[in-house]
Amino acid sequence: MIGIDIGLALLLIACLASTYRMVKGPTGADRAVAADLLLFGIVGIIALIGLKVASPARFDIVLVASVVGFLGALSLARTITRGHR
Amino acid sequence: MTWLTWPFRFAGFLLWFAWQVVLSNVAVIRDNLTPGQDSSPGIITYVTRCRTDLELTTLGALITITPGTLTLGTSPARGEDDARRLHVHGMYHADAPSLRAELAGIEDRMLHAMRRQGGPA
Amino acid sequence: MSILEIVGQVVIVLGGLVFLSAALGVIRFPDPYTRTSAVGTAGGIGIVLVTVGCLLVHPSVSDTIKVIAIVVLQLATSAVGSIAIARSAFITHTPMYGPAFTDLEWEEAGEHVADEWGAGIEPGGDSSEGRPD
Repeated sequence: MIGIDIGLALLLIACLASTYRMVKGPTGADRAVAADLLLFGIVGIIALIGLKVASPARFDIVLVASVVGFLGALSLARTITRGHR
Repeated sequence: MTWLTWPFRFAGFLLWFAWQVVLSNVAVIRDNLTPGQDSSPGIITYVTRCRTDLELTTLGALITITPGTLTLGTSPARGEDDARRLHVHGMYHADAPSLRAELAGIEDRMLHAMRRQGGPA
Repeated sequence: MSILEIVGQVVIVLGGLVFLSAALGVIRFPDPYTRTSAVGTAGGIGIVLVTVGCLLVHPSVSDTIKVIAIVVLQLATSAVGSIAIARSAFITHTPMYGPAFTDLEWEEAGEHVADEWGAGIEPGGDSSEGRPD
């Protein structure tokens, strides 16, 4: 199961990098795109941990996240443009 | 009877696109791991041959998924030629014509794969 | 350990490498457009590779159906989110790093954007300043 552990470590690096960019900025778009990557990284981590503990619900969580996850990016984009489309 | 070959054209396009993603991902990783920036970013307005909004959205999503290129937005069908346009940001293309040529390659294959009767014309 | 398990773990590591390239891009690329470009790839391809790898390690019929739905939905939705963020960066006149070529008119972007994209927004950069409006 060494592959799963390597995958978890790589996803964790991605989450830390996006957190750094979210804190650092400098523009709103930078923070929004970092939040987007953080969401994807956490969804991947949930899938891998679900695989490690053999949870039967791992794919349901990822499915829900891929249905509603992009709404966060859309609303952040709308916030950056202050409501203008 | 060209719609009979549609599933095979579609599957072939998916395989080709996956290979393209691998190729351009290697270029992005190489630029990332070597010190300094050797990218040459630029934005073009690409006049597509898409006839429906579904085709335009699919093309924009494919361009975004390809590493190194990014769709910035769309323009609706208006103007004298009544064509749908995409604003595309590219990172590893020396000039606008080479980026346009890559987009045309993706668009040709996508339209050929998506249309039941085939062909981008 | 079966062949399928090994293939699944290789696919998971590949997905992790796609995420790693996106993380490097988010840290090292100079402007929001290039960063969004890196994240747009990872959101689509990375999640798809990680989920398919998870399926290959422990395959089952009902999970296969869920993974097919995940792949289709993820490829369709993640790109839309990235496009929306990149578009908002342009509408707020975020400057671009060293453009080698451009078709958009940056100087008079106010009117250009309002005319072409249907958004009449005032020029002015950083939304982190917390303006009272």
